Amino acid sequence: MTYEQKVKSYMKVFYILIALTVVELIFVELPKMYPSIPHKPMVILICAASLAKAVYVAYYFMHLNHETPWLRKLIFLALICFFYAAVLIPDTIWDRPMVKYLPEPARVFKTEAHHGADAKGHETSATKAAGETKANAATPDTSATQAPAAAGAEAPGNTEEAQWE
Amino acid sequence: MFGRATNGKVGMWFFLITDALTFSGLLLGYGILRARTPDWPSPADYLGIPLSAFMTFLLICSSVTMVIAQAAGEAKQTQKMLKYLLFTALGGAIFLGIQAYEYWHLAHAMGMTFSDFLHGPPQFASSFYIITGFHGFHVFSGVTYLLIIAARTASGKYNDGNINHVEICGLFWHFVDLVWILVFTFLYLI
Repeated sequence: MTYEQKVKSYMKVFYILIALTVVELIFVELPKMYPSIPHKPMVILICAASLAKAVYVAYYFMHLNHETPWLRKLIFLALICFFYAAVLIPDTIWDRPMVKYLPEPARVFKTEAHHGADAKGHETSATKAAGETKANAATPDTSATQAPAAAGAEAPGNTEEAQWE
Repeated sequence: MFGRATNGKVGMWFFLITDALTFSGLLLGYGILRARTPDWPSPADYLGIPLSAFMTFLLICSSVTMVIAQAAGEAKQTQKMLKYLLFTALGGAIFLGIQAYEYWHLAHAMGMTFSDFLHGPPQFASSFYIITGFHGFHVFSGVTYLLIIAARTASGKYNDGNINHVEICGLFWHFVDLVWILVFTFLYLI
């Protein structure tokens, strides 16, 4: 290939990279302009476009297309980690299952206190619910820690419930 | 096994694989941090997308000037190669200047410092600075590398069309571009 032919083929890759970047930016802006468009598929498309760009750079600019298949495979092995990051990061944006299992007693108390407030019309049921929350809050503590520590943990729980009531 | 690839080239490839694993580690850490931290802000609300999109455009352009420089070197057009190498280094230098401005702006207008963030969890600021900072250090190393290669070109070391050193430098520079494409997506866009 002569110099001019090479430059022509590189410019083709350049236009593809710019087009993919513009596509990415459109996918970012679309859900903002039209809220009816779901956000999640857009995230997948953005990641796919950027991985396609990375592969284009590696294949044509870093001349992987001229290397032996063995070296090519070796390098795509490293790219797998980027692929994994590309899977993990959108996954963390959607739902956060791990957050649900975080040991945050304050959060538990707050939400259950709200339930109590909802049922305030019946005073007796509200007090019953408060008693249940006490029992619920105490059981994980006692199972997780030793008895004296649990006794200490129960005390602030009671004061917090008193505040909510 | 490696065909016509020279020892230097294979060495650079191995270095780039380890470097890619380092960046993957940082990105995976970012993902896990983002999952475990409540109230993670939407990056587009605080980081300037138009400016970072321009930075992406700049790095893609400098990648193209780098391959054109290599093509000119293979055709024994040394002056043209020197010109495009300097264009590439200039692109990297402008990128670094914009990044310095971006850091200054984020610290002053958005309250984003290395360890604190005014509008959300501090992990957002720390992870942003450590990943873009690590990449910025690569750009700085790349610009230095390019200037050394340009100086050697000017002294007539690559007049015979044997541009193996330029190709190895190009590999590093394209890798910096490749990583920025992914960092731009993961940190700024989604």
